[in-house]
Amino acid sequence: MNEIDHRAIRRGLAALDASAAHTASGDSRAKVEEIFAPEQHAGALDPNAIIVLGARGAGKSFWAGVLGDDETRNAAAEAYPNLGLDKLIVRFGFTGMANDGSVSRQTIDAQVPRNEETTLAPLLWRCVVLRSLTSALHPKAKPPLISEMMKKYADPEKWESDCEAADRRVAEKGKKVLVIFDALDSIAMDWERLRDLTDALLEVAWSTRGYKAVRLKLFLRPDQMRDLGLRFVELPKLVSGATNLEWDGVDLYGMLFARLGAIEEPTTKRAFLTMLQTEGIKPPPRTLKRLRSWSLSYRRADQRRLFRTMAGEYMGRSHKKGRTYDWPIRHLADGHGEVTPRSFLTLMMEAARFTPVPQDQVISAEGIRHGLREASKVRVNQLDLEFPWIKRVLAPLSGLQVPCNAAQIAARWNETRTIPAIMKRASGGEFLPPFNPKAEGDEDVKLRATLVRIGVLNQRSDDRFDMPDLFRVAARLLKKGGVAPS
Amino acid sequence: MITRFDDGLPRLCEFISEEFGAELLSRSAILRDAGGRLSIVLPERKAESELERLALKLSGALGAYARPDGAIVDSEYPGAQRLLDEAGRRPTTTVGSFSVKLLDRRIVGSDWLRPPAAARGKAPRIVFASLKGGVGRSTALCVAAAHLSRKGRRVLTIDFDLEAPGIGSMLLDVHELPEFGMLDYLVEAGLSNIDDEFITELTGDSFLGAAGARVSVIPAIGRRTLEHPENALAKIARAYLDVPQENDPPKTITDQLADLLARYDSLGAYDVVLIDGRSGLHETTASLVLGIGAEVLLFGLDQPQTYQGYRLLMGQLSQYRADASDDWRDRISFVHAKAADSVEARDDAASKFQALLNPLMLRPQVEGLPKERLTENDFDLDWQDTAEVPEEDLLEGQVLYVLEDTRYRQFDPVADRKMLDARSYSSTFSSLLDYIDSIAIEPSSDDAEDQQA
Repeated sequence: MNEIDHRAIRRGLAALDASAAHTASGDSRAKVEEIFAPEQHAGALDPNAIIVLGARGAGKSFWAGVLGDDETRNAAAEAYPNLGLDKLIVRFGFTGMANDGSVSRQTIDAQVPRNEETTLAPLLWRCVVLRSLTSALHPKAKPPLISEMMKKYADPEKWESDCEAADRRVAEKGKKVLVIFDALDSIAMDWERLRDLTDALLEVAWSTRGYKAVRLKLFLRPDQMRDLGLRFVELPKLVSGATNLEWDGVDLYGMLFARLGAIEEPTTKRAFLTMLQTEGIKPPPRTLKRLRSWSLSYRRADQRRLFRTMAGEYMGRSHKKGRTYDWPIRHLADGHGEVTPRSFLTLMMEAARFTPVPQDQVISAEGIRHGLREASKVRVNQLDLEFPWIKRVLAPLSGLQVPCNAAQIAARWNETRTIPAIMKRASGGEFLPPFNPKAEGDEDVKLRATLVRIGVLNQRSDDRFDMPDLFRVAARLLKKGGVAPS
Repeated sequence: MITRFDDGLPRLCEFISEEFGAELLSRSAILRDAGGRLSIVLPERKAESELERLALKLSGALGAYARPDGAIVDSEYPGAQRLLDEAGRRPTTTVGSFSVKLLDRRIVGSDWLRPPAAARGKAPRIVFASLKGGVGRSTALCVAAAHLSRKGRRVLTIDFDLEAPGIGSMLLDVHELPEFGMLDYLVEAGLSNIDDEFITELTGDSFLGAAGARVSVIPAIGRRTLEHPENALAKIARAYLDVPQENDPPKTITDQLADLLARYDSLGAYDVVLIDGRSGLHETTASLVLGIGAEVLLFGLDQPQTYQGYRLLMGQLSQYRADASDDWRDRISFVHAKAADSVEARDDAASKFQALLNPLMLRPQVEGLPKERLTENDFDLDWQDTAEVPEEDLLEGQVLYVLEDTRYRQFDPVADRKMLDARSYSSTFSSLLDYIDSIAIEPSSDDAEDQQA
């Protein structure tokens, strides 16, 4: 039996890149070697699935990027031969990024003045779709301006005939055009406008179902769908066909081992292969397609055996502190029970950077706990990009013991004038306020409800509020006794 | 205002700290005699006249709880240095806001004063304890023994409940009963010589071992006592006594048990030792919980009186410091007995059991609100995530449970052996058995979850 070089694996693990693509285009888009696709995520790639729902960090922009880039799309086409990805021409409708052919927020603001969303927004989106079609047909030509198109197509019939003609031409070439919309929460800074723009886009997406060769794909967060109070009548039908980007523990470990298996650095590679060999597990395959049938991608028992070799069996001396395999998943879950790949990878990488270096193991239980702290910080910082008010809401709660009741939370916010401070800043149009100020109900109730929706709080059966460790650790709240995992 | 037991120590501490300051108080030795009366030895010299004045004042403050003569003495007093030295070796006791050194003299119950022993022994020791009877403690021990035996582990079970014998009769039939029991061991250890022959006469082999590795039992009461029932109570009266030693402090019941366990360890005949304790906060409970470095399972129903009783036990334990390399707190687990099959109800009980451990945890000081008052004009703030979250806070405790199972209500394994069949007990006891596996069995990849995958 060969000696396993644990330190070499540790080095490889510490050097992984946890910041999996978080934009659909640009420098931080998806790379081929990062693609690890749980079976149930195939729907994210399916051109016929209009809505893809995923929490922050679940991989929406990642998949948008995989589809949008020729190299990664071809790799995905090999892994999922039945989806017809090889016949796809992809264009970006909206991404929040510049220079990728998508429409910018500035253009939307200029073309759809406030309070005219219901009339002008559908026209805008139709023009965005048609522009994608013409650019797919004439990739060399300079695309027309949205402002000019909106004047030209004020008559809906004109748009319909031009669109049908373009659709036919694409179909004759044996191709399909997919128009991708991502980061849709950044198209507006107030609730009503965001709702109306989204409603209009859903309506356009729904109406293009009859075309032969044009498809729209919208990447959305579940809370966006719920919070906005969308009015589009066919919404339930759209949502029922949606793909959910969820990661269970087996998928996350599968991704971790796939990443480790893809490391080319010779000492790490050799050490990892030796470790697989001692556990009687086959070496990682070379193609994306075969990766799906590698036992470490889907067999929990194999994953656990390997992870036990890497990190030991328990988080302490005994079963009492939980198993090393289950602990990260349990403690990284948000209020909806979801764990994102980035949090998971961050924890593992940080565990590999934690000293002291354990004997005969890659990482230690202390390292894993340290990894949770780091993952928690990273997660709150990510959340801060999306909800700039989050730190102002969480800071007053530090030192509070959870679970606690609503009044304790409200008191902390009142003492620190938290809600007025946020609403005041939001009214400047810098960001979307955490709740719609015009909606019914007390502000602190609405704010807690928002926190529950975005998974930062959860409400227990006895009505008390609890905060998942993922946020609690960075926000520095205290936890009353833990509960046995059952 | 009459001084009662609970008032005496705080009043003494307040008095001394007012006179000389808290620092001098922390270096003094406070003595509580067997009757409960208090006196204090100051660590430095004081004038005779001052001591007399103080003694008078202190007697007024403490009433009956002040020692009649020498309630307050200085370092020149005969024997004072010995007491100060002894106090120096003692863990600190917290009294209100003061940290003091207390020498608590007891005629019985002195095993409660020893700090928890480090984990000992080659074979892990697992203690089954509870405050009240009827919580399924002994049944759980039998199930655990059957389970471990089936997994090929040689089990020694000990009945340490001398006054209400249990597992001895549960696991041994009358013909299998050994000559002696735990009661005889404790009596003989004080008087005669415990030789190897006596040790062999102490254990009987149970039918439980028939399906796997050997299960031996040291009953509380052996055959000899059953033949001479007139001596039973006379033996019990002597079993708890300390054994005086030539040059060493006397051996308490904890020492006697530890000696016996060390003896079995050196024989190497067993892989794991399961010990059934007596219900309640008895002297023998101290031996089991603190004295032998065992894993301790504290059984209880989800009832107010359970939590109330365990709070008293935790209050006693909270004065001991944990050592990072061998944290005795890790070895204490609660077992929620006769639990309902609903996860919600179990979680609720688990958080109550878990809260009992709070006195043992050094709660980290986390700063609350920022010092300056935030107003609606303060939106940007310094986000403090540089401070580390204390390790304590990420250690998840775990409350084990045994499900309510009417089949075990009239449990008599000798008469009804199929109740110790794996199919009968696996779901009812799974949480507990997982834990026992993690203590007594090296993890192997053949566990049930992997089997299912």
